[in-house]
Amino acid sequence: MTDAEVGEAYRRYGSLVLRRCQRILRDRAAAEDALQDVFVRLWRYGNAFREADSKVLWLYRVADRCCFDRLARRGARAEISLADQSVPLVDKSSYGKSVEDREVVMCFLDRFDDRVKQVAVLHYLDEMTQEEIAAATGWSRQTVFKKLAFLRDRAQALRMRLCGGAS
Amino acid sequence: MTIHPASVTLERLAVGDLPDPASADISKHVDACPQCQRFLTELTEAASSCLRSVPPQRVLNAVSDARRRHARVLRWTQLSVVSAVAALVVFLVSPWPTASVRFKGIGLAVHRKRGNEVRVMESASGIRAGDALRMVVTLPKPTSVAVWSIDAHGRVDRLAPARGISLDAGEHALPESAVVESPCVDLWLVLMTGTRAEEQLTDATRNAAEKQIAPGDEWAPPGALVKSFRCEN
Repeated sequence: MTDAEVGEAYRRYGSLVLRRCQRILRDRAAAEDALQDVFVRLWRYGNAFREADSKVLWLYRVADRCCFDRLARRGARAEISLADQSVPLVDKSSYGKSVEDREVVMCFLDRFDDRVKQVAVLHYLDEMTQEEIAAATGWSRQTVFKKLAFLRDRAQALRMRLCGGAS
Repeated sequence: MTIHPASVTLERLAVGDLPDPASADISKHVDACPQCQRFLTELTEAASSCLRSVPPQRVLNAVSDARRRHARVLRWTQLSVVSAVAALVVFLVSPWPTASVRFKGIGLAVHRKRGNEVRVMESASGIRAGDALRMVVTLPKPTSVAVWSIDAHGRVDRLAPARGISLDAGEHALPESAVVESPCVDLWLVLMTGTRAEEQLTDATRNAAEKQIAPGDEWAPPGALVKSFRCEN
């Protein structure tokens, strides 16, 4: 891919990728570094990008991978609290408890294995349904269902530990 | 309860990544939904903010750095591959090592035992009566071997092995030792190989006797290996 093509893709999709990285990593500087990683990979695997039906979804999968790698390198991040509101969130009050689950899960994303991380991101950030997640990952609905149930259990347990049961 | 499009759907809508039919449906919802409109406005603002905080040139610089690193790795990889192929070619075309050592030519080493002392003798070394001489031959290929001694009186004796012996390539100590008689005289050891050695030496000694050539190197037939030893007595 040429520099011009990478630059054009960045101007068009860069902000979405940065926003996603920031929501996963919950750290602006780390998100900017991950953003650059994503576009370096775009330069390297430009042909796959050109052939992708959805450029956004292709970039998101790459961004997820870059962020998961950074999370793995970062290790424990107990210092990050639920009160971290550096990431602007659109309030969808109808989602109720799901929003709280999302916050807890995303805070402690690094504690899960990569498959669970992927399901968490697709469900809590992309707001995909079980069917959509199954289609996006190629896993069975049963697998997706189990991982989502596991995430909800973990989110509830984490909330109990952090807030003493208050929600 | 209003069902909003998923975040990812709105994000794709914002950058024109949705296929046309879906785009029309979602746009219709957004037109009637202040919450989704606010979401799209936030995305637009985030886009401007992103380009300010991380300008495209910074990303392109990262790509350039990666390209340089990639080229360097590629260069080293190519060099490694070329080296590996060259090593493989050398390995394949090199002669397969044989189990034994290859010798350049026929060799004869004479070990002298005098009392308790054993030493390898140079040609023209001194001998005395009672010295035991042990012969070690080196052969580049399998052949039959015979050794004779010619003394200063013109006496020709066949030394160990008493009869010709066939040996493989390599180094061999011939069986038994030859003992220098008393009185000691100068001596020449002649090593011959091949099946015609006996015949050749007989012809050579007869020729020397007929021409009255004094015993010595000239008695040896062509191709023979000769070591001469001087009597010290």
